[in-house]
Amino acid sequence: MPTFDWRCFATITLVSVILTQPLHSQGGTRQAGEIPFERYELANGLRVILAPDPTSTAVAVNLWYDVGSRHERRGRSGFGHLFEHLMFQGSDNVERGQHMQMVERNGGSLNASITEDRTNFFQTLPPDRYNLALWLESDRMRSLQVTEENMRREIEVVKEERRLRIDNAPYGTSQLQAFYYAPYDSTTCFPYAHSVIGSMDDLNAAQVEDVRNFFNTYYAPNNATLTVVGSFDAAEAKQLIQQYFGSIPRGMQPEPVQCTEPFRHLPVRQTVDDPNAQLPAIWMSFAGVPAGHPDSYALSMLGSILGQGETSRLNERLVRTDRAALTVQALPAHRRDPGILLLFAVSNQGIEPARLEQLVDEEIAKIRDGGVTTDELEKAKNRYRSDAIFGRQSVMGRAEALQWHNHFLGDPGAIRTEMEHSMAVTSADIQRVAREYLQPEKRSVIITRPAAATPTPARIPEDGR
Amino acid sequence: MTRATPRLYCTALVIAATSACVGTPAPRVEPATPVTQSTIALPPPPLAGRTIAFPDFHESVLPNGVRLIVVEHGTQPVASVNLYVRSGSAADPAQQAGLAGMAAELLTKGTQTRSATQIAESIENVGGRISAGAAGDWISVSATSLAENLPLALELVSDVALRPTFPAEEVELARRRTLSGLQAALGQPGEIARRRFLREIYGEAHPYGTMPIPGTVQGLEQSHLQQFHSRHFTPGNALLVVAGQVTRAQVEQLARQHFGGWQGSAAPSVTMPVVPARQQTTIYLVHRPGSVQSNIWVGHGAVRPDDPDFFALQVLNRILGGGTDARLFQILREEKGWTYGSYSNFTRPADVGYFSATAEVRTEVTDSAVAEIVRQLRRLQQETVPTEEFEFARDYLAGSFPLRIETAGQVASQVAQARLLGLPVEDVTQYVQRIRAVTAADVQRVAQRHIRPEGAAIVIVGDATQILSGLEPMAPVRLYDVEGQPIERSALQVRASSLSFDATRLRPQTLTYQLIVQGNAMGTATEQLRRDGDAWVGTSGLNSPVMQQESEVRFDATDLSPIRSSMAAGQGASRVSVNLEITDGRVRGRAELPPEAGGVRDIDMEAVGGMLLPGMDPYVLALATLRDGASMSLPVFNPMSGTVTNVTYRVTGAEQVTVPAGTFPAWRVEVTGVQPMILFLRQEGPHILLRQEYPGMPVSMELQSIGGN
Repeated sequence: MPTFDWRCFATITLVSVILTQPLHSQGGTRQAGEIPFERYELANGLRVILAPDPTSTAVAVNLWYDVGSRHERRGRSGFGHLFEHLMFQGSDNVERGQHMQMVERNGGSLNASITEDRTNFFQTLPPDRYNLALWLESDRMRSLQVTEENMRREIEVVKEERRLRIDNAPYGTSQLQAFYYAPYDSTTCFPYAHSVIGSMDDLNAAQVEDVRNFFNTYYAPNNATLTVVGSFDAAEAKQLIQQYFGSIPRGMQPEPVQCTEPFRHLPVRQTVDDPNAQLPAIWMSFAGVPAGHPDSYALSMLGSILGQGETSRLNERLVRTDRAALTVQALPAHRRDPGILLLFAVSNQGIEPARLEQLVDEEIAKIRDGGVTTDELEKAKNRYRSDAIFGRQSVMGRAEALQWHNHFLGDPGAIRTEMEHSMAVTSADIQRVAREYLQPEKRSVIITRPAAATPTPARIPEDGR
Repeated sequence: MTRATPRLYCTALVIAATSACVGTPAPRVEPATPVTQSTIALPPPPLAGRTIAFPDFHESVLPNGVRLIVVEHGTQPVASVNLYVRSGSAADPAQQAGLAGMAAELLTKGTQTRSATQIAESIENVGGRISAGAAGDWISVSATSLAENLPLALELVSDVALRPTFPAEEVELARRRTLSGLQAALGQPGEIARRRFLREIYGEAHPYGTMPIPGTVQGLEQSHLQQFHSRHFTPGNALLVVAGQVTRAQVEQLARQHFGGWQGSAAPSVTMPVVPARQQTTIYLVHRPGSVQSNIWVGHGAVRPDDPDFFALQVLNRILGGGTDARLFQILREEKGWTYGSYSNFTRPADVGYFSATAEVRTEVTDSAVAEIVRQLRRLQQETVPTEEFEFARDYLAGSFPLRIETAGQVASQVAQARLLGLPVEDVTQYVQRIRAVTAADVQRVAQRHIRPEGAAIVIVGDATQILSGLEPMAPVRLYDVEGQPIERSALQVRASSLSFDATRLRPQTLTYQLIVQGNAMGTATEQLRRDGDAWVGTSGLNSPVMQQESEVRFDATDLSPIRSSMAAGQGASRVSVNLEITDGRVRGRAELPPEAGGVRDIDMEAVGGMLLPGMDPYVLALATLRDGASMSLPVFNPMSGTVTNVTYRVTGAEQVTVPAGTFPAWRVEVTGVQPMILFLRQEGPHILLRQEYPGMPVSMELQSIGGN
């Protein structure tokens, strides 16, 4: 039985941070939860956000590199993911595996993750040891050991991860199809038309020189933002950051990412035969907007009302009333360039996916024609705001929130404005974006059909169609 | 059979680091480049003068006796409310074990003014959460919300804690949920081991040694719940803890408003019986026929929560079995490869806690693993822990504490815990200092004082026929069956059956079944019986998204003696196939199982009188003499373990059963000795299987149609 593991949660929370920024209206009782911060830049271009808070008991050291799968070129996909692994393989003064060991032995915790738009590395430590995390991060930014041996070993680890999570997992292949290959036109937006986990063919063909170049380009101080949140003295942190990071040389300016008219090929309809799936499923990806677009707030609320929680419209209709689906959910994917709103439902036995499609279409039509109720919208806003604020109780949650708003909206302080925008969404806005974005000709539909087991797992093109 | 609900994996936009979560230290692969910047070539030492003060909190008492703790803490507008009542499952009367758990579960299922749905909706509408549950020594009701909704959170907690109605239909639902969960748990070797261990440590008289069983849960009535509530939910027995971006004044005012009018007599005081002293080490072996693993628990009663050695014991535990870098894990898993994991623990309940070291190991290394665990306990008494190992353990505990008091809710729960255990608050406010004061000599001293390898209870759940002889030289062994009844050594012998069955009474037929998973039809199965010369041939097929299975069994058409049996099944990626044949009084064949179940196994063993091969049970039952209270035990070959075990069929009642094929008077038959099942068989002979259930699992089979052939 597959279960979510917490590493996945970490980034799923991140997604919800975006759609979880509700309101600051009606007399100012609805605060967003302030996170006072200051920001500056080192001479080598490293951006720094400091949010000291003497009341907290720990310190989060959180580093975002502006590199995700969107920065990968054709024939080089999977490099971003490979680096998320390579970063733990040792640097000049830290042996392989020691990073994790040193943090844990000092009572801390750590991890890393990658999405389409960024790669993050983070550790939480007691206040007398956050200097260790700064030192560890600086050592690998300065001198990561990109060797043939490390590279080949981690490529094998990534391949195993892909086999486990995608190739042998129920709905794994359809999921990549629904997130990347189908909704995005690979000729105009290769950055989002290929998967984060990476192409095995590209990784097999990787040369250590290419991989070093990737490191030198993207893992440079001028391509990173360091955020420190918690119980520390700002002057001391500045001095430590200068000492550890100040002498790391600036890297080249990465080439800009091209993603223009990513959705001009829609609509798309495909079928995936999945030997690992037990029941049919349907995936609908609607063309959306970039994070921070004026319509993004209403689209997030719409996603929540449609498909998040037990009392969402799709759950009420497909699962509870008609018993046509085993599960249904909405997953808004927020990206720097246009994102998507994804709806996903698994059939109950004996129910054709066409029936699910019809029911989803009916529920969308109800919102297009009749809008949503004030209570529904209010509940969606409350849920959004609570989730955002609950997530920011830890220093790490606050560091991630600052980083997210900085990265996607250009300003850590957008935490407040984004909440205001979300809380200002009206029923009329929801109806308008439902009409504008949830159209049959602006979506890709993937049907997953359980297939008889075959010796080889279903395969799909790995770097776009 | 496992539940087959598909769920969306970690979405593909999220690919997290596996390398960050696994990996062991390994030698450096390349020589270090010469160090040029000496100030940054070495990891920095800890920053000086950085002691974390435990966040402030305020304690007070309302006039009616409710104790109140307020933690004004946190940068985010969040409030958490916890009401604790100092009576948990240890307050259950022995015959009503499970009472506190069910009472807690039902608090949020209806009050004098709100239905279960209204309670859920009122908190969800504001984005908050409410829940209630019972622990050993207390019941807690918790609500979390945005700070602006603190009044609602307190009102709801007060309503569900003070004015629950325990609606009859909710009691019934909760009873069914509890029974089903209990039945599932009682089939798990880990739970069987834990229960045996607690019973041996605490004895029958101590509440910590008494656990719910289906019989005690069956008997729980609405009136018992109401009595439990009025007896224990009294202001003098309550601790209210409110934390977050709140002010003391506001909390105190709201607490008076919602809890000030609460009246009730003083809480009943409970005197705990003395934990029995153990004079010698004894092995308590629970025979689980066919088990391919053994669950091991080694331990004994330990210390009271206020024992001054508690902090040194924490460091000891971290060294022994407190994580993957501790001795038990490193030796039993990394070095020996006997187990997936091995850990130790000192519990800290309100009365005496226990010490345990546990492991789940392959059957064939059971005695070696027990000996190794005991050796590691002695080693702690005999040797001082090397400085580096000791310091890592001590520093880890001290260093990670600040990360455990990050949020207001975490702070509140630490303080509440101390108070519920009757401890001074210094127990948490001085935690780091007290851990740092522990020395390696202290660890050795407390090991000598509180660990007793010579007076331990060693509980093992496994196949006694395979492990008993290895354990007997170590300590006296007492045997139990999986139900907890003492058994004699003779019971381990497979008992031949002399029952005879007249197979000429069988008729060709085809039965069709529906597989039901969580109330949904998830596939069909057929059972077909046909005559082939001097033999009957039974074939069955199950086709479902959950699993596929095909089998064929051949047996004598006169006396039902087995001839051949074959089976192939698939569930997800795992495949099983078994082929067996009886020749010259021996079972021969091969079982191909998933690696974790033993892989490929050739079978060649003596057959047992009256033995059945897999797939014959429906036909034996069809011919059996069934009546209320009847029971028969038959030797059945178990291809998973490659052994013969006795399976018991016991008629436990008569019921009308309705299935898609119709309504029939039926016998209810409980099957034990394999995966527990409940069968409903048509009373009219031959006894056709009408419904099959797996206790605690949302899976059943129901007869759809009966056909001739």
